[in-house]
Amino acid sequence: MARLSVDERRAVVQTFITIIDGLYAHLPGKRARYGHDPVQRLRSLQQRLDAIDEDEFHRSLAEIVTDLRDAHTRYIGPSSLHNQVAFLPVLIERYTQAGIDRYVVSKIFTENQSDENYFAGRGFVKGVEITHWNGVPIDRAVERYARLETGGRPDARKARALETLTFRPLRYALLPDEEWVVVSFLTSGQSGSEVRLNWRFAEEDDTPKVAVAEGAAQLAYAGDPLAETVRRIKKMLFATEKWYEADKGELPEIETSIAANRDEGKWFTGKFQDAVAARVVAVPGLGEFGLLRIWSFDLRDDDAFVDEVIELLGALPRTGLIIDLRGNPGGLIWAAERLLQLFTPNLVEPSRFSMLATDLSRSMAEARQNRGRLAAWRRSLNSAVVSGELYSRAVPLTPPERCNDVGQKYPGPVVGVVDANTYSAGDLFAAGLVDNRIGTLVSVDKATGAGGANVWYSHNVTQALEGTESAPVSLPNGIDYTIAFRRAVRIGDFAGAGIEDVGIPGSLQWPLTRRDLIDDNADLLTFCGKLLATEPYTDLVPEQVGSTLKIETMHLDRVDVYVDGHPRASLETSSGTGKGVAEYLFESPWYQAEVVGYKGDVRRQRRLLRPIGV
Amino acid sequence: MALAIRGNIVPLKKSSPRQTFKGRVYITDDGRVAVAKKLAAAPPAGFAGVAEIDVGDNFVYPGLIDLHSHLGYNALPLWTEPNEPKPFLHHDIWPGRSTYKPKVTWPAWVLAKAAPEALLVYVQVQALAGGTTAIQGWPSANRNPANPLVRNIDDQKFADEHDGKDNIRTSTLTLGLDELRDKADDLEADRGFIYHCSEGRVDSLVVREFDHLAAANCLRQKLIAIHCCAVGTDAFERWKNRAELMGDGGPGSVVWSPFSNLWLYGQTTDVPGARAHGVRVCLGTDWGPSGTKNLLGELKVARIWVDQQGWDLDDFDLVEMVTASPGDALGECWGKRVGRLVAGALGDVCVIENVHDDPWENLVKAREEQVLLVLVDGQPRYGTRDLVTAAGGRRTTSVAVGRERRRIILIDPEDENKPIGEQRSWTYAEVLDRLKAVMKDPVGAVAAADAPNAAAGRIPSAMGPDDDPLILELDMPGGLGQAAGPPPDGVAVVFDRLPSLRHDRNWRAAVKKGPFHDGILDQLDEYYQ
Repeated sequence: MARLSVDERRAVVQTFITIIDGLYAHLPGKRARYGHDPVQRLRSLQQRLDAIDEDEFHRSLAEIVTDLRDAHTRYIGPSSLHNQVAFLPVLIERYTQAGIDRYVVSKIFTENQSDENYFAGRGFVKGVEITHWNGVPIDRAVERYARLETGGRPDARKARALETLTFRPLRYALLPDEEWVVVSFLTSGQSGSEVRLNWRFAEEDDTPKVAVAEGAAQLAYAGDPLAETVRRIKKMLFATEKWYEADKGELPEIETSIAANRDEGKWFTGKFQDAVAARVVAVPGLGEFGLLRIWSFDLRDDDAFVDEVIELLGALPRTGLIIDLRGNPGGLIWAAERLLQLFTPNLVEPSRFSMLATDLSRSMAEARQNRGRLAAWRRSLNSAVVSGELYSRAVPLTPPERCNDVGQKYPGPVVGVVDANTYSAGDLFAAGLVDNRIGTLVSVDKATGAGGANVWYSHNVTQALEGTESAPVSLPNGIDYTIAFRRAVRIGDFAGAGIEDVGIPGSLQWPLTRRDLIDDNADLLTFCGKLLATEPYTDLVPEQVGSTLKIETMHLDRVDVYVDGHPRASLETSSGTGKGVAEYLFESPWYQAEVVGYKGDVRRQRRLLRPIGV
Repeated sequence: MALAIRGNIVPLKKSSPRQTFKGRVYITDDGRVAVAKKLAAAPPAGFAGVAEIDVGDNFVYPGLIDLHSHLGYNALPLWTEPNEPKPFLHHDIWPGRSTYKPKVTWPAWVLAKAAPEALLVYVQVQALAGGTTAIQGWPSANRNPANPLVRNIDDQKFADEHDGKDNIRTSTLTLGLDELRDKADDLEADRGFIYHCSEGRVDSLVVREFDHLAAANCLRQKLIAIHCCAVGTDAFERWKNRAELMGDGGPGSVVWSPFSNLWLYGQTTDVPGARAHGVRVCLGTDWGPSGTKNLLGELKVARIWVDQQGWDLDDFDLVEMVTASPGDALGECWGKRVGRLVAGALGDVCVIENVHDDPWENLVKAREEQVLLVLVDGQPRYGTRDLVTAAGGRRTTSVAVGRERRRIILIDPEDENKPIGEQRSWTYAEVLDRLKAVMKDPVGAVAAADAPNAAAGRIPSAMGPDDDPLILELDMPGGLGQAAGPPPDGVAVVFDRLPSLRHDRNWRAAVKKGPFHDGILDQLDEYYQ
């Protein structure tokens, strides 16, 4: 690959100055929070381009962008190593004991018998506790590395550092300085031992592609592409069979998966196996609950995704649901926000997004090609010239109608579980859960990962600026970027609050235990089960039989029936035993019915119905 | 000064709460209970020869604790909305009725604006007349009043606890999840939180307020939830389970205001349901427009309702609700013993005439005329001339309680910042005159209240805090930003007569006109024959 000339480097820096100063959604906040100005640092870099070599240039540019502490906004260096992921063959996870972070090897990857012999010979097995990393106490090593990571809070940076300590997609991250790592650990017998782990490399092409959605969905993306790549590499190394199933498109039908796995408490999945799975969780003394594991929102077809989740929910106990979003790096905003409606009898309001009000964003909104997709922001961007507002008005990216087109499907109480690696669309799902008062949020760390933006890739920006005075030059040698383009703000009780850098804190916190790491989240799930057991439970099951709507209820006093938007009946349901029934007779053809269940005056259940066959 | 009170002691000791004895309560000169001992026992070290207040056979109780009031409104009479056909559904309904502002918020605002010091004296004396030593629900204020007579639960600081800071948060307003999350952090940090919650008829919309407490993780041991009358026993079970899940010793406390609930909603809190799940129940009077005047009235209402419902609660249980139970709830937050006459407890005491041999029945049936002495921090705040004097009270002023006279100690607010020896006394008659003058000419009084600042060309906040005129902000139910406001220009506020300090004939006659209690509260008459 040809070396960059000084002029080319200058053009690269100028492009970053243009987009960060003119489009970067969090610029005012980052300046305030971190006390430095990325635009000024870029200008300073531009002044000393003659004095530094190309490696120093890339490092400097990467550092300026990384110091934004924003995983949405990435500098992507020259393309020679873009397809490589450097990794160490272990999965390290963290738990907390007496307020102290401890690190456990939860999975080991072995390529061959030689690997196995080497690790076994040194007692390096699943569950050993790491004490040192290249001679540095492990917690200190993680903290030190966390300084180089994105993330607005120390715990978020640490969580990301723990991932990239052993997995480095070289498209987004720097090549490790060291060729190997010496890991000191305590064996099961609590004696000290060491292994030497060499960095290995995987082709990113070996993993399923990050799904860059097309069309309008392309502009409704909120994810961390680095974290998504790491997630897929981990799956390839440690859940190889599942990875191959997805990679080869040999996924079992969802009905088959449910039949084979449900009653044994195993995961069942459908064609979105890579994004979502479900299983039944039994909590001793409290019964069974549902567990919905949403690994990622990185997908193209939100309609099919929502349909599949509905099918999975139908196979889970109705008395309570745990939605586990830990490590979810985000993806398609529509997928995340449209799921929320399945768990609430109330209308869902999606989060809102605003653009930084600058000359560049105004000219972008005025560009002919953007008059449709940026129309909702255009007027307020223009009025900001005289009002002095920093941002445009905030507009949902997921149309509210689409957030409410299916309605409630799951009747029981819901608990969401998040960690500091729940990011972006994962943040938005967590925000929606809290802000729409749908369920209780439990955080493993202090909050979610705090990625509060809609991300645009460079080609989105280039396309949107075409024909304007600021159309960026094409970048040489595969240099690229992603940028937080629209800033997410919350709704409801937290209306107007940002997500970036602060995240969504759980109302309850559950620091993981050692048992959680080595015994399938046993303590965490028991805690969530106990939490669900404290929540009130109601249910409503409508069934069409000819022209009659038969309604069974649990712990409800009354159901209201709306037909094609108009109130038609308000029916009492008997409540002596908790169970109740009611019937409604459709007198004429109808398009949509809505059945709303009340306990007292409080709406607790809602179902949307279409005539059978429609 | 250190002192000993000799009489029939009702200490409400935790290990033997029903035990009473003839003896003495010893109070240190810093206002703490040293110990309560039987008569034959020798005094504790340092108490030989201290002043003894002999109350004979009369009962010496811990001071009563009112965990729910809105003091700024307690100079108002009972309020009803004419022609209201059914009990109100919940607390968001009645503030919108046509007579609510003219009869409640406007007169309250005028009194608070034009006579804040006099208003606070009057409402505190009303509480003292019922044996109350601590009360919750003070209006927000820019500074302390000149005459703090009763302990202010909303702003109680102890120099030796919590870095001298107030350790209890309160909210009358219904809070959103964001603010409740802050309160959850307070609860996690071992602070208390007193919150109006789910006030309304059973299963009405305000049930959601309890759901929001759960969602924000506020169902903890140090939550003191006022009302909770719209929720059922399942909610209290939820509270118990959530508190257990969080590792608390048990659920928190609910404050029961039966009069106010029955007056507005025709229903009240599921007290057996709360107790069955370990939720501590305390009593609160609420406020003048829909409440009793003090805890002696509320105890009787509780007794009437308990009997009417056939609940298994005796007089002792009710007495606990105004002493040890609220004391324990506050004590957990303050790091102090409160509501019991035990070693180290706050020296808050009330002496009630012995009319019934059973001390529990005696308190439940007590009338204002039977309250003989009230001490806060060991200091005499209210009582008969002899007892107040014996307790060290000087320069007292007379208060009429029916045909009886009681004494209190007031300083003239004008002299608040002068050295103690130079402060003039304020008479209770002057307090009443001040309030009556405002009620007679509210427009002129409000204008006069604004005049000193206008003349000085400054706003109160520009002055030193000690010199500021007292400014009170009255709370109201509802969401953020709700506060009792001034009457519109040109509208003359019409006052009723200033109510008496007792649950007198006039008040009981008004109770009988209440439309929603089905005559149940008419039984109050039986206690006052």
